[in-house]
Amino acid sequence: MTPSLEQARRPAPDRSFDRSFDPLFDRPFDLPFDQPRTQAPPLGPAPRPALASSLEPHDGGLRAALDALDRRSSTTGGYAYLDEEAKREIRRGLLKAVAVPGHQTPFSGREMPMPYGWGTGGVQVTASLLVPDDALKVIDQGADDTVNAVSIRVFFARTARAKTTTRTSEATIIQTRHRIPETPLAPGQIMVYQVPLPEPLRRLEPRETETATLHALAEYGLMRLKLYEDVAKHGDIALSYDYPVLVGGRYLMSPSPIPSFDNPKLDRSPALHLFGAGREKRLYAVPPHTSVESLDFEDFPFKPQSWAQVCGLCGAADSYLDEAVLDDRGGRLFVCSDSDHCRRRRRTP
Amino acid sequence: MKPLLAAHGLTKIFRSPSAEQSAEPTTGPLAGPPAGPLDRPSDWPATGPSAEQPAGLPAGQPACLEVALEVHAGEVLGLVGESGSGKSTLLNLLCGAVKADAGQSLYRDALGLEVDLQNVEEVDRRRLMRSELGFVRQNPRDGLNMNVSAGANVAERLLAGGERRYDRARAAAAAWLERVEIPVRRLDDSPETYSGGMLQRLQIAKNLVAGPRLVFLDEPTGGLDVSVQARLLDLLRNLVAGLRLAVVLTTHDLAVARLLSHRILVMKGGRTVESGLTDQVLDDPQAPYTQLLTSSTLSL
Amino acid sequence: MGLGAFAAAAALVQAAGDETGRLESLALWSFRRAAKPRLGLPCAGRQPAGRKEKKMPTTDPQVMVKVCALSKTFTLHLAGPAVLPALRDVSLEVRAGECLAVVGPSGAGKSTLLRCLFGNCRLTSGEAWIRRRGRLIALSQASPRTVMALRETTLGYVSQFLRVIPRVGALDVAAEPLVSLGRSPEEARAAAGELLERLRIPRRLWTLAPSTFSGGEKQRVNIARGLVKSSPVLLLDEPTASLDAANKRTAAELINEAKARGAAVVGVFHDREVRDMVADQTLELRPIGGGRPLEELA
Repeated sequence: MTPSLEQARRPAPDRSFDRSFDPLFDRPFDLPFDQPRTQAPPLGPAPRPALASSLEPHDGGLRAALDALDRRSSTTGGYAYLDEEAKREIRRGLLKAVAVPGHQTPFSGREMPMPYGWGTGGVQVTASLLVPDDALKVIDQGADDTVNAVSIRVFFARTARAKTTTRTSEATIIQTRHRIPETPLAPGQIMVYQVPLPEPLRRLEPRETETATLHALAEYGLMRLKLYEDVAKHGDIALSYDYPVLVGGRYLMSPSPIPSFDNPKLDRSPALHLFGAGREKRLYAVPPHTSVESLDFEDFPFKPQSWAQVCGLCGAADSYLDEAVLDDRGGRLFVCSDSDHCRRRRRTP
Repeated sequence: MKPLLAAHGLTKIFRSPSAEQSAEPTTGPLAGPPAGPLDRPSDWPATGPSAEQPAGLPAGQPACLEVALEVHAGEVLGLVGESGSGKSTLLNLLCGAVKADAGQSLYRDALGLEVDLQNVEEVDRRRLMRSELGFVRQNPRDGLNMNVSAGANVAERLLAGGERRYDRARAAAAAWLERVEIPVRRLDDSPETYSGGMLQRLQIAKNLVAGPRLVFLDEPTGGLDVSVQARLLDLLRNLVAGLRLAVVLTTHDLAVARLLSHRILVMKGGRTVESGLTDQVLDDPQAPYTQLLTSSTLSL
Repeated sequence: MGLGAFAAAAALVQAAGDETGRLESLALWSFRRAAKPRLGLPCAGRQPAGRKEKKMPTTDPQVMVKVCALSKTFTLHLAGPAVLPALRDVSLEVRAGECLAVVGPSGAGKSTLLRCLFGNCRLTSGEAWIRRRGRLIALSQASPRTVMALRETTLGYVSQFLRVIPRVGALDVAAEPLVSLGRSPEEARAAAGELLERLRIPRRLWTLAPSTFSGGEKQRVNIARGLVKSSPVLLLDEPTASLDAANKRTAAELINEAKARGAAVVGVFHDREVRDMVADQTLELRPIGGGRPLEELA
């Protein structure tokens, strides 16, 4: 859709208030694309873009999500490693993903300075959202101090001079690999998940054409077959992570390899959850206050994991526990997987 | 009484890239055998409205030409013909799996509404195929999921249709395995361990578990040993009688047609050559091609 | 005379012009009064194709089977083509409670006539009617579903050779017509068992498939299968051919019982003794001399 010559001659209309429009189409031909606008747009809560008002059937969850995304389109010139076009494209993809909860949207992923399988999807989503006043928390299996978490945090600290934090309650964007923090999320927070395999039916139906058709027709009998098989073979549903969920009663989604213990945290969560798969180049999202139900049978209901032990460090009985091997004589210790949660509990007895 | 399935003017032409050059040499060393008494289409008096290919359709290999038929509840219609007569294509056209070039296939669903299976939305067609219709394929491996257990195969339509209790789904699967004479202890076995006849019976159970009103059977006994075939035919006869199913059945074996079907349609080259009551068509064939078929069968 | 009366009345109606309503009913009333129960219209030979038979061929409600100028010709396309006339201009009428015996030498078309009445053969020309629930159904215009309905409710057929359904026991073979009618299997088996006992088929044979039975045993199973439904019209093709004297008498008893309850029977009996016991009228068929190849006819 190229602007006509006449449109190009006329002065561009003032669209600075409306950041959902792509400035690409407002530019006259003679300006190159990567030059900044003449007017720096104000930061802070933006006036409602025209897009959201037409999406009335969704509740305030979608509006909040669109606000959150919208406020972040103000950076310039390669902030957080990616160029503005790439970030714009990813944000557009995220808008579509938020508009259709649970549906996988393709995006043109860029080459990132880490290989596939190391979080490129999550990094691209975070990069496209990051603004200077964000506080970024990065966790890997619940801990802030593992190698991957540290690497990605340093990456954003360098390329975006982002403010980073390990406290869940202070973070505005939390990028996570395979866990949701124990601390309840607040409205306005964004969770970014690193997803290896976005398609929940992939192991049951290897053809992408078929899975796309099944999603379009909402035919999820194949997944229910898998659950039946599990009960027939093992006596109960044998999925402990990447437990398939039905989002908004319509789309089947893989919530990334989080443990099934964390699935209930997605249901009607006040935060926005964004999922990025770098290798498969797919985005999907769960807007705030959306129903997320784990698939099960009436007579074999969904049971998240539970432990007989409590955390050896802070004594929590309701958090996800990791088993740590202490010595080579069989000594074990169960500790909270969420290091921030454990530390906070230890500090405030 | 209104028919359960009524097809009008179903036509399907498979377009060949060399349709213009399809004339075969009639003389010389490449020519085939000289035309016999029944090799010319004009020798087969067709009961359809046209003996020639209707104008306005693209050139190509006609698989079905203006086929019209009716099936009522509780009735078995047999489509009889040799290989290449178009009966399998017709079956696919009737259930809407293949888009026809012309014609409609009107199915009267459980609520009495008439649905054109050729023109309906894919969502609705798939829903009907899961709940009210069934399709048993010639090769059971095409109609079964070989990666899950036999019980899961049978329970699939129930689970997809909204069954949320595992024990009910399993009980229904076990009951149907028993009905098709497969030992219930094989419920959790993989279909890879089943023999050919058992696979075909498993496919039948899978199609019947949701209680369909109309079932399409594509050569149900093709490729099976005689004793296995006999057992399968007995099962089909009992099921049809017991469940009051409407069945459209394809076969090249006249004995199967005589045993199972109430009415038959004899097909050749995509056209209907003759149709009527099974015993009448097979005992008093009017068309030359039907007489050829009935005189060609061996009998013990 | 009735015809003349109707014609006269119709002329009256036309002459009167507009007062069609009253005069028409007057004409019909006079026609009905004048008509006596009679055999109906004389069989006029070949009917024009496609013309719906508006007038009933007979007004006698007792007539269960009526055949009018029926002809059947087999055309064998593969043998020439060769044309084999089997029946020519056959007419008959059978009332409820009567038995018509079809006699004639071998090859005269007796079995073909029965097959035509059963709907197993198409009629080349002429017409045959079977009464079903008070109405006469024309066989040449009947759709396959109508013939199936006829067979279910009205027609019982005992064929010359038992067509064996494999692996089904003799009791179930005989009971099958009742089961397909909707009766419970126990009820059907009980009724079939009574007939088999009367026909002296030993109980130990009831669960065995008839393929290994002797000719006489097969024929008796066939008779049981044909008679179990108590059909209003029975078509019997040599039912006693392979039976011994005692069983012949039993078969004749069964046929007479069927007649007593109002069935119309059309049968081919070679056996004079049985024919004398059951038949009320006789129809003699003679073989039609030689067929000519189709080209010569044209």
